[in-house]
This record gives sequence, structure tokens and C-alpha cells, in this order.
Amino acid sequence: MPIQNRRQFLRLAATLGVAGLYTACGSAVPVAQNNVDANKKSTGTLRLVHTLEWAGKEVLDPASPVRFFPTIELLYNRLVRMDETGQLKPELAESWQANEAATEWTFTLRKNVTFHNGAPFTAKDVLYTLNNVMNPKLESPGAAVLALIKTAEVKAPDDHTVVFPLNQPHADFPLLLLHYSMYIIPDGIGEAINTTGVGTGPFSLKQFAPEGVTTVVANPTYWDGAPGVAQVDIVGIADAQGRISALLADQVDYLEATSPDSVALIQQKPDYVLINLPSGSWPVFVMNTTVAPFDDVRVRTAMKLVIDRDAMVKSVLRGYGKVAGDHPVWSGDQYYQDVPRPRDLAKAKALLAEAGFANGLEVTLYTSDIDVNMIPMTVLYKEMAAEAGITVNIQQEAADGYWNDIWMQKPFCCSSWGERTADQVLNEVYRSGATWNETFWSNPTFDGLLDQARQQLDYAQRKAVYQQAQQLLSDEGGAIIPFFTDILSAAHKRVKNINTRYFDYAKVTLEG
Amino acid sequence: MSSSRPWLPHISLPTLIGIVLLAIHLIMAIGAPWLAPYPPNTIDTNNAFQAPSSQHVFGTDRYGRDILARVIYGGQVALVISLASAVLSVLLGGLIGVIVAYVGGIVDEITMRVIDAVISIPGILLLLVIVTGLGTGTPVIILAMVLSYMPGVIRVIRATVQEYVPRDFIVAARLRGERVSDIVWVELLPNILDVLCVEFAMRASWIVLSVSGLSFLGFGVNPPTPDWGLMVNENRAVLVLSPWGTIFPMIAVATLVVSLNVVSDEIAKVFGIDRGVRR
Amino acid sequence: MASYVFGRCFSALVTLFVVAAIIFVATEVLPGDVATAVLGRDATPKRLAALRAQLQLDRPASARYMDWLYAFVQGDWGYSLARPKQAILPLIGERVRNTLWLSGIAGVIGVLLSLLLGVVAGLKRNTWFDTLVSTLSLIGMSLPEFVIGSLLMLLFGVIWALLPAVTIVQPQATFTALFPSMILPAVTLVIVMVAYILRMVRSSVIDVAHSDYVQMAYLKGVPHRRVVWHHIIPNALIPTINAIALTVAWLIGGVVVVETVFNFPGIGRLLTSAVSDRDLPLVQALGLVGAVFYIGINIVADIATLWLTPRLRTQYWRVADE
Repeated sequence: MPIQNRRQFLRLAATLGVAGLYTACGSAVPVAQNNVDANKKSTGTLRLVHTLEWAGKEVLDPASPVRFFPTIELLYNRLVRMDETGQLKPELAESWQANEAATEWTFTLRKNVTFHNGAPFTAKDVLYTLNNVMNPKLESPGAAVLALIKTAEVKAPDDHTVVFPLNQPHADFPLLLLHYSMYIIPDGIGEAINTTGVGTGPFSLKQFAPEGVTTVVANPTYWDGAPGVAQVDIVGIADAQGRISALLADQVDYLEATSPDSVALIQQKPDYVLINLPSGSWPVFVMNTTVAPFDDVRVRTAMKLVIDRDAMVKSVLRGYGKVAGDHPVWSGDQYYQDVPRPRDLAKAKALLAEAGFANGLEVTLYTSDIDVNMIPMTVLYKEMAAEAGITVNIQQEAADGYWNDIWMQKPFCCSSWGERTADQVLNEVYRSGATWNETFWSNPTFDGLLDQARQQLDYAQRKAVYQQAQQLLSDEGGAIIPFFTDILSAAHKRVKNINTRYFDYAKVTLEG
Repeated sequence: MSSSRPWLPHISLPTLIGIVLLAIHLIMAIGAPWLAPYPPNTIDTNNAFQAPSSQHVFGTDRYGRDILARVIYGGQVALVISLASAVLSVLLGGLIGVIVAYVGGIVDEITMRVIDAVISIPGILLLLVIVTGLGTGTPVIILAMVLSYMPGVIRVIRATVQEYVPRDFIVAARLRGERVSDIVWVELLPNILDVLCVEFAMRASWIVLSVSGLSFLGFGVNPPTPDWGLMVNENRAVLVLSPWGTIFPMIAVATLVVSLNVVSDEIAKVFGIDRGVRR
Repeated sequence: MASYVFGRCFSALVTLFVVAAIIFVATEVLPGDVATAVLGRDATPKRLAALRAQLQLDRPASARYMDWLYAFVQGDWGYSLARPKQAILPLIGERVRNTLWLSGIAGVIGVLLSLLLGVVAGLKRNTWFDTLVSTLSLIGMSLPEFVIGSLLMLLFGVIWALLPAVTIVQPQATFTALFPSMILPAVTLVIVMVAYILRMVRSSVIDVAHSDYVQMAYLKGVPHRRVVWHHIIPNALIPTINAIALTVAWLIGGVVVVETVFNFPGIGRLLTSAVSDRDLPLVQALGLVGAVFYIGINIVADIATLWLTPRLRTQYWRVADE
């Protein structure tokens, strides 16, 4: 199926917002040690599956819009990564520090790291990677995230130091370098990266075949010690049902991000472990706030009040998720603001009557199976809204072309986003005039709050401002966000060290 | 009684079953509002995935909707789509077939070239191109079905009509100066009615299958329409744990196709026509 | 005979030309184009214009069509639009090979099995065997391919784990490597095919067995075994050749769904993604390959019928042909 799943994998979500990440300005992170243990042996073959998200067009350039997950996670390293507990830790960087204003960040790079082709890793490679991301021809999804870096002014004073000057202060800048487009590729590799996958990671490419079986083998000289398994096969299976069958028939060992419907099936099999990780990924009903009837905030509020959110989590997600309050910052984020929005049909009807829809309102809601939850939540919404006198006509569109022909074109449609940090998501999706401002909401007070927050270097005050912004967005914005979804994965029980949120493929081992 | 109607065939048991099944399907579809125990789309999230019981004879699906009610209402959808597509294919195809056979010459030549070409394109490719281009929904599905099944009808009808065009009674009618439309309606149509009937029943059964195939590939009708193919697709993921959501609509599809097949066989037998093969 | 074959092939070429035009027009009138499909959520008017210029989508459709056709005939099938740098010929080549293996196996088994069952059922009309076979074929005809496939996968792949549930080998794998993964999809196709052909064969056998010609042979005292082998079977099979050809040609379409169910690396999966990517050259090439199959199989069937008929032409056939 050509359904292009735009969900970004959890561990690589554009940037991750986990409480307690903030690194104080000017402080240096302790120097990490290379961890090569000659006695450690890589054994066994780990079999992974990928969704053929790009239907065979996958490439190994990590910055490409059609980057090949999860293979790029195996081949490359970033400057920073998350440890198992969600703390930022050094990867190809050894340490970093910012100037007082948090407008310039200096990274010290790890020494004695080599690429799979034998070339040493230096600051030049970091600059090359960044320029690749910023290359307009590539259309990299990372370009917008890293746009605050003054790319032309990035300097490498020596082989193992990189200085990033920023357009504006950013106290959490290292978080942005978690973006998957910042997997480091070697200087001057050019388009060869698409099929060669030369990186510094725990595995090196043996065979590239997105539509068949891609094979990577252990990199024996990996700077962090030889990986736990000798080989990883990545099999492309486009049909979701086919992927579950492949797992249960023991044709693959690990299945990332499966549907809530498959959970009960997996739980029946004693040989399999279900891995349930809360996340801030959210599907959303988008109202265009500039088009009638959604230009009336009373209508928007009524549309939000009709939802029984607990029932939706229970039915759509089979309980694997959390109720949301119409703003995109989730409870795992350090700046999260709790906005309860219980179902209130009487109030919804009253608001509709006030807005001139006393005799009911009829709207068309566009949806697609581009995200597994979109259709179930649409079906439920239709029935829930009907009880408040709102007639919702569902129009299902083909997954391809959905982002182009429907999203931001139709006044009422579904959308879906991967987890993002508060600062990123509020600016990227809700600020007036943002490219991806899907609700076309324009509120000067809200924009002012966002500016104020970025410049506020005091954590508690910054948090208060971000929370105010969330409350405003929730009350007046055009997004109906009923819940955040958990990410459900499943693994054969022989696979070890794979069940945490930020697990490292290099540490995964096979038992027995 | 049967001696006065010599064409009335001996009805075998399978045929009888087929006809009864079709009758049941028709009654269920027409009487759905009275026969269904619940509305087809009413959700009840507290009673999702219920096994069959006295309250829900076929159980409930993930939204707590009554599967029996959806299967019954699904008959309306299946019959509307398949009958509408089959009627349109047979009427339009029959009309075009009659015209090209009657007119003949270059019109016939060109039309048949195009028809041959369309028939030789894999059917699924045509369907996918139409549905991805125009979006899903009942009218698009019907259009896609008509476009992919009509060419076959045109070919069959044209061949049938060509046998009649040189015959005496048509030639005579032409010589009498009858209008073309009269010749078509009065002289030709009664003679090809039998073929049209077989084509209709046969294609209706294929269309039911094709529509469910499209639903499987994700290009079907809009939810929450209680379409059988959509129901199978929606519940396929929970087949092992909650098989009733898949099995009952599947039985409904199969019995409708069986009954349409049996009936088209029977019509063909009565008229002495060879049934075609699914393209 | 030679002139018939030549004429048949010439008209096939004309048909192919029309096929190409139809597919081209069909994909052209669709809303959206390859540029919107490639860019997706990231599409902006500027980026769209740039990509369209790069892909030459701004040139008139007719010009692109003629260019393509000219190159196609010369063996240059061009490059996939949505998969930069992938030449279409090798891309399709291995898929076509895999699909041919799959449908070849299914076709041979399916045809032989349905002939066997159909002839026996026809000769033993109205026995329990006939009823059983006819009923099963009716059920086989009435279940969508994906239902049969999913059930087989669940039983043999997941619950009993006897065979691979889905295909996880390279598209370019050898026959031996691919074979285990071909069993379940092939069985699925065989079930559907047998259901269709068997019924044709059975009714044809019944017709011939009740023809005057066969009755005459019995009256002349020809032994039953000889009547069956020398009179009924050959004559009953000729009218089914075309039905078999049509069913085998149908395989090309039916295989799309079955390949999707079993993740089989044939043309099916390529086709669905090519259509949704608006990958015009790829869609056209696949459509033409499908059409070539269809037309080729039909030519073979026509020639086979022509070749068999004169030798076997009998009183019965002369009557039936008129």
C-alpha cells in the first residue's frame, strides 16, 4: 500500500522535550570516554522490519525527505543522543557549552573516531553535514528546525571544535541537534551517501535494498565498543497486517510502532513482549479559523466540547494514550500545561445557538488512512458530534496527495504530527504566518507570548509564559486535539535491551 | 402447468438455495430499517468487541456497533453499488454495443479497437487510476466499476447484434424505412434481452468482489458506511480475537456472490448462453 | 496460418498503441501530478514549479507522450519519475520475472487441476463428487482473493507456522530462495482460478457428452473409455481454451491483491505505489507489460484453437460453429 506514514520515529522525533533536559548556560558536560572493549563479541542476526514508507524510494542520506528508517539509526551517529532515561548525553561530541546569552554554542568533538571507509571524523564532517541539511535542493525536513543556526558563520577553529552562532538565544539548542537530519556524514561524500551509507555508527552497510532485505554488519572498531549483534537485516513490508504476521511467524524480531488493534494478538503469544512507550504524538482535527463557520470562536469551542475524550482514548487507542486538551504540548514535556476539557453537550448546544446554529450545523470532515488513528477517531467524532446537533459528513481521501490536496486546503480535516518540544511546536504550527500553521490562527497575544518565552532565560518564568500560551491556544485556537498516542512496539523475547524509549541499537543483544 | 411453460427448467437444490439466498439478501436490504436490531452506526464504546450474545446476535465491533445491524444495512450498500454499476454497465454497454454493431464501418472499427485496448489493460490498474484520481466514495466507485466492466458488455452485445443485423426481419424493417431507434427498440432489443440479463447478473457478482477488493486495498467507500468489504478490512487486524467482525460480513459477501452466480447460471441455462469468464 | 498469425500480431501492435494512449490520457486527466505526489506536505508553489520544470512536466502532454513512445519502442523505457535514477526496465524486469514465476506455477497447477476436476465432475454429473466439486468451486468464486489469502496466511504462516507468512527475500532472489514464499500466494491464486475454469470445463464436458455425436459413438458400440478419451475430452477442451486464456490473463490483475497480502516482490506492489506516485512512465510501462501478457495469451489461445480444431473437427463442431 502506498500509504505514506509521516510519523517520525519516537526516538528521532524532530526534537524531544523531556523534563529535566535543560542544560544551564555556560556549563560544560563531562567528557565522555571511548569505550572500546576488545573482549566483547557481536553475535547473531537481528531482523527488523520497515514500513516502506516511501514505497521503495528510500535513500540513506539522513537529511533527505525520503530517509530510510530505521537503517540510518544503525549506520550513523549524531553529536548528541538520549540516554535510556531521557537525558541528553554526548555521542560524537564530547562536551558543549554556550556563551552567557545562549547565542553561541561551542561543541568539542570526540577524537579517534573513524568512518566506515577509514576516514577520520573531524569538524569538517559536521560542517558538511549541516550544509547538506541546509541545501535548498535537498528539501530536508531538518532545514526548518536548524534554521536558527547562522550556517554561513559556523566555524571550526580546529579539527575537534565546532562553533554554532545562532540568530536568537536558545537555551535548549543541543536538543535541536537530536534531529535525525543531523546524523553525521563524511565530508564531500555527495550523492553517494544515498546508497553507500558511510557513517561512524555501530553497523556498516553490506547490502542496500529498501524493497527487499537491507543488510548491515557490525563495525568491529566502533568507538563505543563492538555492537551486540553481528548483523542486522531490515525487511521492507508495506502492509501493516503483513508486518504483524511476519513478527508472529518469527520472520522478524522487532516491530516498532504497531497499531493498538494488534496488541491483544501479540499479548496472546508468550514468546513476544509488548513495549508500550508514552509519547507526545498527536492526531488532530484541524479547523480553518478564517473560514465560516470556524471563524467564530463559539463554534470552535462547541466543536471541542462535544468529544468524550476518555471514550476516544479507550476506543481508538484501546487505552494506549493520554487525553489531551486541544494544545499540542504533552505531559512529558517540561513546559506542559494541563487543560481539562470534559464533554459538555449542553454548553456546546448553547454556544452553537448563540453563534446562530440553533437548528444544527453541518460540516464535512476530510480524513485518510495516512495515520492509523485518523479514521477511527473521525468515525467516533461523527457520532459524538451528532448528539449536539452537529452533522459531520466524513470524506475519506486517498493517502497520497492528502497533504497536498486536502490538508490546509479544506476547512475541516485531519492531520497528524510527531512529538515535538513545546517551543518548536508552538512556533512551527501555531504562530501567525508559519508555513505549517494549519489552522490559519493568527493571534498577536499568542505570538507575543512565544517571543517573550524564548528570550526569558529564567526557567520558571519561561515555563509560566509557555503555559499561558498553551492555555490561550487551547481556548481559542482551531485545533481539536483529543489525545496523545502511546507508541506500541513488540519484540521477540530473545531480543534484549530494546524495550526502553531511547534504546541504542549498538547495545541490543540476542539471547539463546 | 409446466407444460404450458416449456422453458421452465427443473430447479435443482443448489439453484433453489441460490435463489432463496438472493431473495433473503433483497428482503434484508429493503427491510433493513425494520429488521436491523440497532442503527448501523451508533457507537457504544463500553461494549466494544462483544462476542455474539442475545443482545448482539453477531457481536459488536471496535466501536461497539452491532455487527448484525451493519451486515443487514451493508446489503443495501452492496446491492446499491453492484446493481447500479451493473445496470449502468449493461445499459450503456448494451446501447453502445447495439449502435456500433448496427452502424458498422469505421465507427465500429475504432470503437472496437479502443474496447480491445481497454480490456487488455489489467483491470486493477484502471480501477486504481480512477480511484486515486477522484477520491473514494460511492459515486466514484460506481463510475470506476462501470468504466471497467462496460467494455466487456459492449463486446458481447456487439457480437450478438452482429448476428441479427443481416437477418431478414431487420433488413425488412430497414427497407420499410423504420427509424433507427424503432429498429433498435422493437426489433433488436427483444432479441438480445437474454444476453443482457446474463451479462447483468454475472457482472453484478464480479462487481461485489471487485468492490471488496478495492476496500481491501484502501480505496473503498467512506466510513462509517456499513460496507461489507470495509467491515472485513476494519476488523481484519483483530481476526483472531474477535473473528465475528470479519466472518459475518465475509459470509454476506460470499452468499450474495453465490446467489448472483447461481441466478446468472440459471438465466444462461434457460436461454442457452455460454457464460463468460471473469476478466 | 502464417498470414493469420501475422495479422493477429499486427492488430496486437495497434491495440498496444491504443493502450499506451489510454493509460497516458487516464493518468494525465487525474488531479495532481508527480510533483505534488513527490513533495507531499512540503509542497509550496515555488517548489512545485521548480520540480515540474526539472521533470519537464511543463511541456505539453502530447509532446511528452510521443517522446516517450519513440524511446519506448527503441528499448529505452526511461527513468521512474518518483524514484530518481532508477531505470524502469531493470526495475520492472525482476518484478515481472517474480510475478511470472508466481503466476506460472499457479497457472500450470491451476489449469491441470481444474481440467482434471472439471472432466471428472462433468463425466460423473450429479454424483456426490460432482456436487462437492461444484459447491467448492462456487465458494471459491465467491470469496475475495484477500480473504482466501489472509486465511491461508493465518493458518499456515502464523498458527501452524509451516510456511513463510510473508515474503522477506530480495526481489532479485533466485527461484530456490523465493520458492517457499511462493507457495501460499500460488495456492491462493490456484483456488480462485480452479473455481472459474473448472465450471467451464465441467459444463463443456456435459454438453459434449450429451451431443448427438457422442451418443452416436455409443450406439456404434465404441467402448466407454475410448469415447471419453478420444471423443469427449478433446472436443470438450477446445471451447475452454479461450476461457482458460482469459482466466490466466486475469491472474495478472488478481496477482496485485495477492502480492499485497503476502508482501511478494512482484509487479503488484510496484503498481499500487506507481499509481499513487503518479509515476507516469512506470504506470505506462506496467500497463503495457500487463497488456502484452493479456494480448499474448489470447493470441496463443487463438492459435492453439485454430491448430487443434481442423484435426479434431467433427460433425458436432461443424454444427456448433455455425
